[in-house]
Amino acid sequence: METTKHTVSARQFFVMMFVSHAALSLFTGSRSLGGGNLLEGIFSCGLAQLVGGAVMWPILLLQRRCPGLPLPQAAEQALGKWGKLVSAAYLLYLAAANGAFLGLFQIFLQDTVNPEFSASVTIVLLLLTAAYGAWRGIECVARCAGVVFVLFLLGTGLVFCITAARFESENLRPVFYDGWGQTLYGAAAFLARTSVYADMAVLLPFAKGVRARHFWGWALGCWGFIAVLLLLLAGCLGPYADTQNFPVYALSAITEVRSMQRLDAVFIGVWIMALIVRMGSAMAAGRACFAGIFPKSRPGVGLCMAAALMLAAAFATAESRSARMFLLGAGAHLAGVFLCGAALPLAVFLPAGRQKSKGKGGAAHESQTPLR
Amino acid sequence: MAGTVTGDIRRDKAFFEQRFTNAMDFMLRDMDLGGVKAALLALDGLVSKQIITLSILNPLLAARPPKDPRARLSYIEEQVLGSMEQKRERSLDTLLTLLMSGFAILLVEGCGDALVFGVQGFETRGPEEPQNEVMQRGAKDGFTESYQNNIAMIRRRMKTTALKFEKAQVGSESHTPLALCYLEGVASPEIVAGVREKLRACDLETALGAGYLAGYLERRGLFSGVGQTERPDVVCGKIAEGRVAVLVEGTPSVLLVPFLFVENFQTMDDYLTRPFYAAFIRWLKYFAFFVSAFLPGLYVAIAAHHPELLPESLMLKIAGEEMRTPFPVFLETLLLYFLYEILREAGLRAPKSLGSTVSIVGGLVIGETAVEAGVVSAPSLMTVALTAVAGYAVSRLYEPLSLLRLVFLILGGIFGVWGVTIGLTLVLLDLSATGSFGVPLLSPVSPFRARLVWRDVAAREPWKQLSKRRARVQDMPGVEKKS
Repeated sequence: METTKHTVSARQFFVMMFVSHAALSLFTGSRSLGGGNLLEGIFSCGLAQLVGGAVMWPILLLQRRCPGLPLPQAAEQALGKWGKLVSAAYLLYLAAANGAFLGLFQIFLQDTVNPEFSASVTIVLLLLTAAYGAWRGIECVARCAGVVFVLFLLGTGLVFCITAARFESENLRPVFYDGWGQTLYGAAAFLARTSVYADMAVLLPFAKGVRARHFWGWALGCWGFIAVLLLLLAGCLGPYADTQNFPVYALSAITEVRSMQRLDAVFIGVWIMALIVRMGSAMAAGRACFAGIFPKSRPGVGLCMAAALMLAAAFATAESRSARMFLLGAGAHLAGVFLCGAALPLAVFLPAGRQKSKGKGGAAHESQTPLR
Repeated sequence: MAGTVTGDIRRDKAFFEQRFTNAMDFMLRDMDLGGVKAALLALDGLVSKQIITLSILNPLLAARPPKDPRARLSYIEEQVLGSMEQKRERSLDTLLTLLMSGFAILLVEGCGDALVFGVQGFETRGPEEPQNEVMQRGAKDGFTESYQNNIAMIRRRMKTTALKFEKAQVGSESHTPLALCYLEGVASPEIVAGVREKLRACDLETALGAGYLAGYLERRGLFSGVGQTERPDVVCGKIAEGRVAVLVEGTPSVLLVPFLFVENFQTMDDYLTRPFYAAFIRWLKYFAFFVSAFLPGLYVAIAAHHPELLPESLMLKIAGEEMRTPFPVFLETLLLYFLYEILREAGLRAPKSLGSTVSIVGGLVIGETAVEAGVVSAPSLMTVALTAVAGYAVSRLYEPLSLLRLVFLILGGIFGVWGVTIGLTLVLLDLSATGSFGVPLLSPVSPFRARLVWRDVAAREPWKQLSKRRARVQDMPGVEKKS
């Protein structure tokens, strides 16, 4: 069977990850950072990205040890039947984390924007679009992410430039006034939301090129974007930002270009595109994990399963308070990030290393998981 | 299977006569060549009777072939006939196909081979400028229905031995001849082999146009990875960049593969004008594409769901107009969209003399009276009209654009701007997933390569740079490398 060893370049891959990560910045606000000073969030985000580098280390090590081998296959090779549990953990985490964020977006639509049409149908439509992308393959999502990346930067850049005119330095508060506590909490909150580490663990084998360098480029880019966003939130909205559930939307709502009064609809439109990319890449990863659990299943089944789990998590988040408390809780997310970002790759890496030294593995592998 | 020529002239003639029963165009001329029986077969209308008489019949009737049957054909070939295009053929199936392609066949008693002569003489259209691809400064000739003439038009422009024309055939019933045209050493051998393979796998019964084959050369998707042109200069330009052209007998359209999405915005005129103007025109086309695809959807989305996006005065004007009409803006625009498409189709199909009447009655009379009667509002009518005009700026994309317009209109009407963005992402995903012979359709935009984007996508470099930095289609970013 003819297989392609790598399907996307490292640059394309990390652009896709940037879009996926930036899609969640719509939910950035002082409440999600533990309250208080938004400016400290800039330091929190930087710290989270640095810790993220440590989280990423086992993933990169594993890729170096088993180049081109997707994590579900590497896990099965290293842990035998227990490897399926690793795949299952990734599938559940990807579905829960991304479904929760989708649910949060539904809450945002229902409570803040209040459109004339059903927010649930919008979510289903968004998920179906993402599923189409995942079905056509990771290359498809990555290429689309390249275009969305440009549109996203143009859209947010426009809003940032317009709102920058309203920036008032009086709104800025001194940082670290109350010590380091909030910064550390904010860093944990940022890290908890970086669920793309799980995507990276599963999908990185499909990217070629220098990965560590690109990873740090991605981390720096994400930090820069969040930093500008937080600075504008703090400088333009001031204490008003603290009263908002979604201050980024509030920021977009005050944009006014001459006779055009508001640009928030365009802004949310661009955000929806980014969310589709995020869901698409997560579903592609979910499908790969499903194939790790049930190797003989058809690719479409895995995709449907991943999409159904995400939708269930999204509706649970939007409709049930207890589910929302659990699925959007920083603690659960942080545990998920450490488990899927660092602990599980490390658990696969160590036995894989022993097997390699015994001469059982280590050869360059072809990607077996059907991602196309 | 019909077998081979037997050498028994009565049996061989009977075979052809039986196959062409009730075919009044079938011509059979019996001859006696110094005691040796012979027959000349041809189809009326496909051959030039003058050439047959002067170059074949007259010399044959004066000939005295040898008694030895084995030496007869060699004698006729070498000493009697002076036809440039002649060959021996034994298979009766092939002879039938050749006969129907305008060849004449000579059967000689005692010979196990037939002689075939290229004496085609059917009428063909002159190389007029294609109406679908009118250029301001480009050449004024276009392909015709004869693929041999088309081959000559390309050869006249590319005087190199690297230019290859591989003969092939499709259609189990029509036996349509075609030619694969490419530049050896420039075109990727994998792409050429891929085209060859796909054409070989083509299971059509009849192929009456290039469009029949396009479906066999592309992957599923809204946008095609196969280009079509009627201009020889465009074909030459494309094959110089490593593409493969497929010339099909009976159609002036030539297929081009691989064909990238950005090529839909490129015309020959872009390369004949100054670079800055070419870049300006190209950006106009990108804008026209955007207007044509999204304007109705965005108009309905904004007017119905997000009026705050509009300037106050415009918003009030639209609201005022909408007050006068009975339908909501979504339904009204949808109605106008369908009305326009009907008028366009009617204008295309109506006899030429009625075409302008249809346009005037449809465009001016119906449009104006509908607005005056308060059935539809002027902004909606203007939106649909602007969309229609913009679509012709990128005429290659007219088919997908007309469908996209409808989809975005519905999405915008139901889900507002967000519906349009979801639709746009779906289109982007579809474009990203489609490739043409291993080359991503969105290349070099995504996967991105700055040099190629600045070379001939975002701008058009001057010829001094274009000629130095060659960009073959197989060198585009994201081209699948086989393991």
